[in-house]
Amino acid sequence: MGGNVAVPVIQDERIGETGRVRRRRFLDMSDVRIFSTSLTAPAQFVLLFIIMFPLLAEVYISLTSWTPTRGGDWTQAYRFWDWGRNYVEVFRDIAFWQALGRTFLIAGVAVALEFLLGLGIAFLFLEEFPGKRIFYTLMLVPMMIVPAVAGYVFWLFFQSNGPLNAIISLLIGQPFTLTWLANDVTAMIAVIVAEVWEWTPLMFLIMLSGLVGLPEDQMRAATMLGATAWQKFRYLVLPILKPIIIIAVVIRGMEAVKIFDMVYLMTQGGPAQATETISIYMYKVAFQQVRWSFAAAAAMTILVIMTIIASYALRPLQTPQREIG
Amino acid sequence: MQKTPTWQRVVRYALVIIVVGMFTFPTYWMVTMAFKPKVEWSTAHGTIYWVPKNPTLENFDTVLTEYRGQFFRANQSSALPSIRSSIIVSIGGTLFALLIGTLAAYGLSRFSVDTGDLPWYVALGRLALLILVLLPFMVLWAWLGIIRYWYGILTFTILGIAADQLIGRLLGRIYRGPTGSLAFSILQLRMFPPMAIVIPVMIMWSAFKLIDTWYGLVAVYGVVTFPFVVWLMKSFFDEIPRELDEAAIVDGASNWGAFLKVVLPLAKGGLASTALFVFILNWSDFLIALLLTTRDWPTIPVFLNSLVSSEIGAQHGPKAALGLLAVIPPVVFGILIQRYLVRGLTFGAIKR
Repeated sequence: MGGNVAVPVIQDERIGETGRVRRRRFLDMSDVRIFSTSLTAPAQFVLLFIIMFPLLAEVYISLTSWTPTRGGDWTQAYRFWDWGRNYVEVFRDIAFWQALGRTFLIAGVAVALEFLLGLGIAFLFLEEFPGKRIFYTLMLVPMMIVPAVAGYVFWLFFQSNGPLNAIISLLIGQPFTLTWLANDVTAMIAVIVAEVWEWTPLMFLIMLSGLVGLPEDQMRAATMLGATAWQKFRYLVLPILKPIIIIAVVIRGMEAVKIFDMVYLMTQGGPAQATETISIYMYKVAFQQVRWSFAAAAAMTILVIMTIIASYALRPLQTPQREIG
Repeated sequence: MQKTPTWQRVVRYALVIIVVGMFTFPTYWMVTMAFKPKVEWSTAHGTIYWVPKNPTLENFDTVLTEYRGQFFRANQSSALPSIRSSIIVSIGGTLFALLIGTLAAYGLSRFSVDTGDLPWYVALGRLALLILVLLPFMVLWAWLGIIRYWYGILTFTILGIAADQLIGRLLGRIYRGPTGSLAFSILQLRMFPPMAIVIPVMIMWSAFKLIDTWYGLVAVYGVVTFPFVVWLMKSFFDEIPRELDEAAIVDGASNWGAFLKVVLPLAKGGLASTALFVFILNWSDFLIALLLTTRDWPTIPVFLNSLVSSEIGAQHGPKAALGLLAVIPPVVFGILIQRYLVRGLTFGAIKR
């Protein structure tokens, strides 16, 4: 078998020598055509059905200055039509750009830490040791815990009279009462710690599976030729693991930029705006300040930004990956 | 393999214990808190109990049995309705996503000629065209006052889908490249924070009277998670040689027969791991359930968030107990399909 990603498969008789689809005749009712359409049609229809109205309603609201507090329901928003004022405001809103930057900062730091920790721990688990099975299972548990619960546990954890401060007090031998979540930098650290805790196990699982599948004879040959551990890692392990690393990092990154639960439960974006990610920002604008038209404009801006980023971020996944193991 | 020196093994072992200990401690804290009586979990006294001194089941009792007027913000007096809601909604959403996602994945695996490498300016250009065409209709529908009702939204949506298909065809004539493959646009959807689109979805859902119903939530969960199903299942289908489909068809099976009786049974391991992954996603969702449910169908995370008592504030113990109960379904599901776990959780990145 070849790569696992979209090698064009040519079976459809409409496809000519060049591999390009010939112009479809009106109502081309060949068996294969009907079959392939009926396979993808339900998904496409459901997707369009659910996306179409919300998308256009969002654009419509974003072009007005309507909010629920200005009277009338949203359908009457055309009375407050004001073209692109909201978009100008979004561009001028420092909090929006800060939230966007913060989101990528949290996602970047968290994913990098998850990757390094995951790889490191995976190396620890390469050889046999007593109780390996149990440690392995314990390592995977955080993934199974609902983020809403995890966020809550970490909120308790970082309280000034919580277990973390108690442990630090024990270690340094004097009372330590830092209110982690009330300080800009430490609140950020707390959020990242919670995120890393929840998702490092996934990285660990991926990396361990990759490491176990390494070709053993090549490793042995490298050892016999006198390669150091670092050389083996740099020139043998890393290139072989590369496709897996790319997939893991991209997938985690995609999920990390949507971070909401942890932040919402631990800090609500605070203190002030110190941990406000883009999802929290949207939540505040829409449900606390009730500026719906502004929120809609911000959402459309995010849609554009994310589409551009996604088309580059997902590119590594489109090229065929080498199989491992 | 040569033997690793003893000191190295000792250091490695110590490291394993420290690291795993650090990763287990929050879990340990939650588990022990679930069994602590009120004096021990309440932080008011400033004493920290590392191990529950008088283990008790009273927290589970508090959460699971009816409580008269104790809970302050919780709309339900016991967690049982939210557990039922979580189970129904997560399983329903998973089945829905599996149904439409698996069909699409098979279609993309066998018939797609689109490699899915869609430049962003084409995607956004197509979107802009669509908006340009449909916005006047949106205003018209609003002016007529029918967009407020379900039939207004329905007619508008049908018009929109027709316009989208038309624009796709037109673009296909002008731009000689992929103009929007399902596979790629599906994946792009995953990066988009659901928070951003949730207001109009709420508007639409309330027009269709879908707010706070299990089927309303199932529909959203299905749509939010089916990109994963498509991607994962496609990687499984790609591995099954297409000669098998052809052989079945030569033997007299129909297209559907070849798919349902030959290919799908071969991919059932993949289906199981995909199901687990999607189930975990649905099970742990907080945001969507928070905004689309109110009284009748809050899921476990939503109920947890509202679990506050009028007397002593946040209910740490009962919350931990419910959190512990919420771990059970994914773990049981995970153990059942252990063999396929890695593949599913790694998004098909690892082929074993």
